[in-house]
Amino acid sequence: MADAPASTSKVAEVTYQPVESGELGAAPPRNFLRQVIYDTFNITGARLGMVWIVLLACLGVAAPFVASSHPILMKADGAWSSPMWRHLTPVDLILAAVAITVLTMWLVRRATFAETCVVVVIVVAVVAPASYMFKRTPQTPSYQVYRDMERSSRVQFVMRTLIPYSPTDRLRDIPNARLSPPTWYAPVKNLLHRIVPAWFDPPEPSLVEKINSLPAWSLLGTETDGADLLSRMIHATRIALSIGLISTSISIVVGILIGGMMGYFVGKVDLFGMRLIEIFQAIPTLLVLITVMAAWGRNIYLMMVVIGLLSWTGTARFIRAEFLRLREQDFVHAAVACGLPRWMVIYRHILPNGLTPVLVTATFGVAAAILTESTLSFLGLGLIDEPSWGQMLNQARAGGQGFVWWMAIFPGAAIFLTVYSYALIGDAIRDAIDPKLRKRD
Amino acid sequence: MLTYIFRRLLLLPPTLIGMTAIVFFVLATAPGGIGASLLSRTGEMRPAERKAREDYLNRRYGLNKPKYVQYFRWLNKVSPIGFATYADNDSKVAEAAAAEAQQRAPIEAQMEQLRRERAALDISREQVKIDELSIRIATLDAQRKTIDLSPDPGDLVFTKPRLKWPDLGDSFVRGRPVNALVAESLPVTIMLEVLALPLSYALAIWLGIQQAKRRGSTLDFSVSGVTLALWSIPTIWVGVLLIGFLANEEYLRLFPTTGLNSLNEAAMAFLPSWADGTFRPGWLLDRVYHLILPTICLTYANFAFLSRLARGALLDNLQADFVRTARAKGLSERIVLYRHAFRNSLIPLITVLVNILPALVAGAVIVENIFGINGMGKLAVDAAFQRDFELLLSITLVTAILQLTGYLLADICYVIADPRVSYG
Repeated sequence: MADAPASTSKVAEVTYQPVESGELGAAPPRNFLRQVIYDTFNITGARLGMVWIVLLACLGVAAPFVASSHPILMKADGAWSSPMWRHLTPVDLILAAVAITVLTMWLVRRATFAETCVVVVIVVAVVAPASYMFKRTPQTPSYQVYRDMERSSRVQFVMRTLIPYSPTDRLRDIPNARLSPPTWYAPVKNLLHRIVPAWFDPPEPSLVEKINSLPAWSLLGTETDGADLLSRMIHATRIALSIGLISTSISIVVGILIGGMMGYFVGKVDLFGMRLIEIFQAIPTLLVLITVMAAWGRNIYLMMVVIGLLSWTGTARFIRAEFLRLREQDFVHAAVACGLPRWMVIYRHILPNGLTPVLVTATFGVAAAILTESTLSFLGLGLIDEPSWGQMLNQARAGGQGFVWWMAIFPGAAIFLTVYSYALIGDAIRDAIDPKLRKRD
Repeated sequence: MLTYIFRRLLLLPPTLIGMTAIVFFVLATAPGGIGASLLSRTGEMRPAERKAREDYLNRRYGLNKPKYVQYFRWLNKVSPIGFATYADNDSKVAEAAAAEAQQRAPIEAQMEQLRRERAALDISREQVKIDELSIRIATLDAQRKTIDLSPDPGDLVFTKPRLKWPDLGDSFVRGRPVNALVAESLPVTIMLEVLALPLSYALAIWLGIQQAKRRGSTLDFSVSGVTLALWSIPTIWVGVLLIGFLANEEYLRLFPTTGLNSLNEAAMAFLPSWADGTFRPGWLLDRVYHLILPTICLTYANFAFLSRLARGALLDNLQADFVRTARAKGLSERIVLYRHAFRNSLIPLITVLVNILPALVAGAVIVENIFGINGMGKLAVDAAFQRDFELLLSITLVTAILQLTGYLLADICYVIADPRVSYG
């Protein structure tokens, strides 16, 4: 550089050219949150976990379109009709609208997260009142009517959903439908019996009879009431995911409020807050939930709120530690010296920098909430009308007398895969934000 | 160290009060409150039964009293330090009851007259007048109930503090005092947890050490992946699969299905014997045989969680300066690991007990439910189904106190393991 002072050091002779970001393989500028997300999904485990969760979210949104006894399109007695459309509830329509909006915004228009949120809110504000006012759903659907019409040859054309069973369709018009094994059980067992007769017996005639009496292919079998297992599992994803998300949101909000206050206003507030944390840590969550379900009744919103209000202590501790660390930093002193109001200092300066450990606790919190709900349903204290994986797992015990393998393996695997996916993502986030980890392994 | 323990003990009462308040108010603010068991849905209680229950609940909690008074009465009954209560046949109580009856008499006379008027009306034609009279009767009834002179039976005598045995109430569904029910089931649950917790710690520390020794190898990575999956497997699934495939008659019949002992446990000797050439497992081995599956269900998740922590902590410590000094001194790797790095690595494992104990409690509830073991968890679920709220409240309280005791023990272990810590 021509105007540099004369120096005897060799270092001064080296010149540097400014590099545009993106050239020569330099990383594009990202804020911290984006960097964390990028690093997280570079890890294979997090990618696999995200694949499963996105699959569950799609199934949850598309549940009435994928698994329903009502055909999509039907021509009976010369008249066209769409029973599936007729039986859609407003919630189904709202979820479908939100899903279509999100897909369009992200994939087609490449919008940012904030823009997508705004558009989703607008869409919900328009679709929700319209669907609640104008969409009428028949209260007591009759599932047998389509099969009866087919039997009496009154149907000229029918297009069914992928899984032609509804979760509450108990197949009452079919005498042997309860507790039938999957339709592929008999042929597979026959094949195995022919290959290795010493190890495998042929399938029992009673089970084969049950399989043969089913109206259509049943991939996972039926449960004790006669409803199809796969259809119930698909509809149960809604319950599982919504309980996980809403409970964790509540616990994070409460944890941030209390932890933030403790970390910022140290002193008496901190002491009081620590006692509050200890009190809530001492409360046995499952037993209080059992008490609430027994005394107040089985309400899904109550369950979400109680799970959220009993699990905020972990978040509060982390936020408190982050606030204690950050409040001595220079940028906070600068913000206070500029005369910013206190709420702005807390929420727009300290909090965004302290949120990273909360990402990990939030992810594991969702997994824990899903497990808690499954446990409650398994014990028989969960929701009554809605299908739930835990409740299906409970039916595998057949009242303590037997064992129904298809009801034990598949719903249990669903719970396991969901919890494992969230655990993988949480672990990956933890690895992405921990700077020590890069040096160690 | 003693000052630390003393300070932790001093902080126990506010935590206890706060926790008991929340547990009580969950029930007290429910529809029906403490007297919810009186509102039987199917109306199956006979009048004498209902009156007995109402008297019991009134004496114990005071059904018409405000909720905080109910809470203090319950706390008084349940804690070992408290006040005496007025008995039913106390002179002051009788005086108050007489004065109450005297003051209520005119209102009750009015109510009786209105009731007679209402009964004389024709229900099909004078519905409006009947409703009007019912409203007036209800208003008078509310007025009558505000004339409540203390002391009532069960009120606290604030001048007579005493030490007493905690009284957890009576369970109406089972017809036994809750103290007896809890005393029967608590040892079973504690036995399960005392078996599971040290086992999971021991296995986790062992696995963490093996992983730390072979850092970066394939074994290390594969075990890390396996432990995360193991932690994610729900206990309900493992229990059902184990019982279905290993204990069922259709598949492998390797393990017994339910209970803590076989049916003929009373006829068994305690220790195994080889008399007459046949091996007779005694009661002890039979109990161990029945406990294998439940212990597996309770241990695997905590073991997976703890082993990841143990590995991380050991790796951190094995890179520290003091370990480098110890190696430089020429100490063998074994001594470096077990005498120097090990104790520091225990610290995060002790602090994480706060997260493990609630999971253990929930696990015990599930395992007792699946394997038919008569412990506190099974008692709680049965109480929930039978709407036995006294029992449910007491079980929640006892479990919470046990959890607090566990945290206190963890704090003491923490102080023993890390002499640097001081509270404040």
